[in-house]
Amino acid sequence: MLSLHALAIALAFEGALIAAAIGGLVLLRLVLIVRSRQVEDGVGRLGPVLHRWLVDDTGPDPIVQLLRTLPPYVAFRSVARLATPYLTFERQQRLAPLLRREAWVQRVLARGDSLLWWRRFDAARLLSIVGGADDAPLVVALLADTKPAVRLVAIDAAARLGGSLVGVVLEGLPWRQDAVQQYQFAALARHPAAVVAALTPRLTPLEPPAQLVTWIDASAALAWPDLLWRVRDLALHPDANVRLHVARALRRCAEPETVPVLQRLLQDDDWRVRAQAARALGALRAGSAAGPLAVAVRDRAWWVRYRSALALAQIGGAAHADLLGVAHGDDPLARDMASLVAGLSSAAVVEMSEV
Amino acid sequence: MAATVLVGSWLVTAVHAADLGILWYMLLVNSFFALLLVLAAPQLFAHWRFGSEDVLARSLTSSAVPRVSILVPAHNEAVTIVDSLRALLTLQYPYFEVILVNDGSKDDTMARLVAAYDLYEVPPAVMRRLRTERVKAYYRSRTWTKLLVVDKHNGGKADALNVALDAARFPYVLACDADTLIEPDALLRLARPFLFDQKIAAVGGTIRVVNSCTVQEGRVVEARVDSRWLAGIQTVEYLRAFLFGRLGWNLLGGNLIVSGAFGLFRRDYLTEILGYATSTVTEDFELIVRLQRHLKEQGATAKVVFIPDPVAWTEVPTSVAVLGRQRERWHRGLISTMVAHRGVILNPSYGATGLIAMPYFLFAELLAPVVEAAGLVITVVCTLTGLLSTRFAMAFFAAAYLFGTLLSLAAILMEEVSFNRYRRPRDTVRLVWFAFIEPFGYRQVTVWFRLKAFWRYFRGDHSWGRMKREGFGGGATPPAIAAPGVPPAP
Repeated sequence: MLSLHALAIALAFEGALIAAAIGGLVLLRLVLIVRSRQVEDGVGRLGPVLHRWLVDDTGPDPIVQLLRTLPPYVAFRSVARLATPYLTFERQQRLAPLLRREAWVQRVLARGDSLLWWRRFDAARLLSIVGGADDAPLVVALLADTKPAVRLVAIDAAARLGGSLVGVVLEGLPWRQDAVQQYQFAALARHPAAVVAALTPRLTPLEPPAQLVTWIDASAALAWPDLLWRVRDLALHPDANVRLHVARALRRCAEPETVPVLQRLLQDDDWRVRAQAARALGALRAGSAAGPLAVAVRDRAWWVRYRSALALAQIGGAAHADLLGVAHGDDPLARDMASLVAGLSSAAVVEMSEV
Repeated sequence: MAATVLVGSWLVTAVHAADLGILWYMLLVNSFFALLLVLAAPQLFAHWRFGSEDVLARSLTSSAVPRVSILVPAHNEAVTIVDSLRALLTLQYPYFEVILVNDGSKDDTMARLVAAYDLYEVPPAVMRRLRTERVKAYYRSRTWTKLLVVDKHNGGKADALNVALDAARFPYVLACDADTLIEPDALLRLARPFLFDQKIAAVGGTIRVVNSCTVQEGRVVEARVDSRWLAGIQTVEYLRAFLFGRLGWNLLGGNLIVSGAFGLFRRDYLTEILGYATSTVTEDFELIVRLQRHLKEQGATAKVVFIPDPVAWTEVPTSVAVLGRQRERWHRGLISTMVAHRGVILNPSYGATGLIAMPYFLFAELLAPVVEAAGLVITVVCTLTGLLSTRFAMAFFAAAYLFGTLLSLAAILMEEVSFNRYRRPRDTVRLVWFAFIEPFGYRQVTVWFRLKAFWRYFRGDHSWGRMKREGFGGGATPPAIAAPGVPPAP
């Protein structure tokens, strides 16, 4: 009988939960419809005002006034959605101090130290649009947040503010995954002067290799000539991983002095370095390297053969004739690779060389 | 007389013991489902919250996202192949290639591909690391530079995936079925864990049911719930399995399923474990178990995670016979994988995989049809013979029924709160309806198919069973043509 009672209680409990779930479904659908309409309406009203500012340069005041009339969460969502696609960095700089004084903005930013991660996330997101110098301590705290999503958005906020925060972001770079590093490079590129100043003293053979490769990658992402010249000087570094990153970075350094350096790397003991050197020579359209590249198509490593053949196709002209020569040669692996690449359309060559 | 009384008393004791056992089993398994639900809810919120932000759009234009090779095995997929492939080739993602492997199709899959994508044969300049069935030829497309098609002798899905894995250039590979429609931004969303600084071995996304959805040019433009009971119930089943089942496992640390129809993997891990096993009929489940073992044995910290918002759509069976073949095969694959990796079960060296995930799959998945069938038979027989009170039996069935319905409703609720893909109120009403009718007939039928799996497993059956496809409808699949000669390389 005890079991029957237990089952009866479970049944009543389950029944109540089912009723609550169905009620919840109805209620949620209504709430979501209303909220989504409000946000869409906010976005719909803000879009033309932003557009007018872009076209007529009427000033940002109408934007601030419109946002003040919207419910705070609608104002926030609308700005978050439209600021990046509509406004250049310079326009955001003009709009930021005006918005920063608004009550709805201050309310969102005051929650930057909330225990609820999504409030910190909202604060970080808004800081990436309206943040000012006074917000630097909050951005530093958000950069070290326990929630990866908050940290990621805080990078945009740090990039907005620039200054000493660039150094803070750079310091953490070597310990991040590749994808996060690339995201940070893209964000930091808004402040080339600060990044160049912070990176230049780090691009030295005395830096530990694990960190040096990050500085090399950052230099490549920024493609700033002063930095790439220093990267080029690291081509003889004893660590193969450093040479690999140098070879990869040098495809952004379109100068005659780069080609002999890459030709030397094309002879490297490490196949990964040779492959990246071949790729860089192709990207630089280094016609003078066609001979060594034709030899490299016969390399024992698949990736070196592949990158060298693509490089010859990319360079074109006489280099393409070299590629066809290999395609009719007696080395079967080189012949297959050369035939494969020689048969590709020019669009395919460009696409496959890039990735 | 004394003997009869003795037998009767023994029978009553046995029946009560079995009833109690089944009751406890139900309590334990359902409590675990409830735990998964509780664990899944905050994660679902987090993914929804971040997934709706514009950071996603910005990452599209940066070089932050990893390069991905999409592996597509195809066997007799002529009905859907052109649309599916077009959807893959037009994904919103900066760096990817598609490697489609025609696994000895007997229909005109290859002919349709050649015609639709202007294929030409190229030399076999790919790295070969895995042993597979012989490749007939490699083709590139004159119109789609990202596409590589491999034509090979039939060796099964796992063998085709291994050929594609060998031909892949990029460090990450996405395995997907040829009959799966991947949403345009799904790959971008699937790459999100990389932006979250996580070490990833594999990421799985959500599979949804495409039957009755409006599909144009290989894209689902309007999500709908099929009004037919079989497809409709499977829609609820998929929501339940993905929205809280797999999401809950993320926090328990032993995610063992990344659907073969839609999963992103680190290529080097897959090649280290010698790719997909060709001896199993559920190569996706077996692969993840082997991958989890490998990660633990190597002391690697990379994880297998599931995220809910990247969506791929797949066609589900609409006839009981086809459903039966599918479910029987899935369960047979589960049995063979559990047997092959029995050393992991309750083995503390494998962490959460050994102590939580594998025992769960043994008790709550593998043995479920046996316990469910036994419970059904014992309860009905004992109620009819008076050994069990009718009121108790009714209450027992009602409790089990309502709990199952409650879980389905929770999944529907989570779907409504987060991604809300089914915009029409009519579809939500249908989902609720199917959640209520699922326990009547559908469950019992699937229990029967899963029981059959034991029989066929012990007979050593390794067949897949034939799947019948209806196609996506509304697409622009070109008419079938006679197989033309493939033009030579220019």
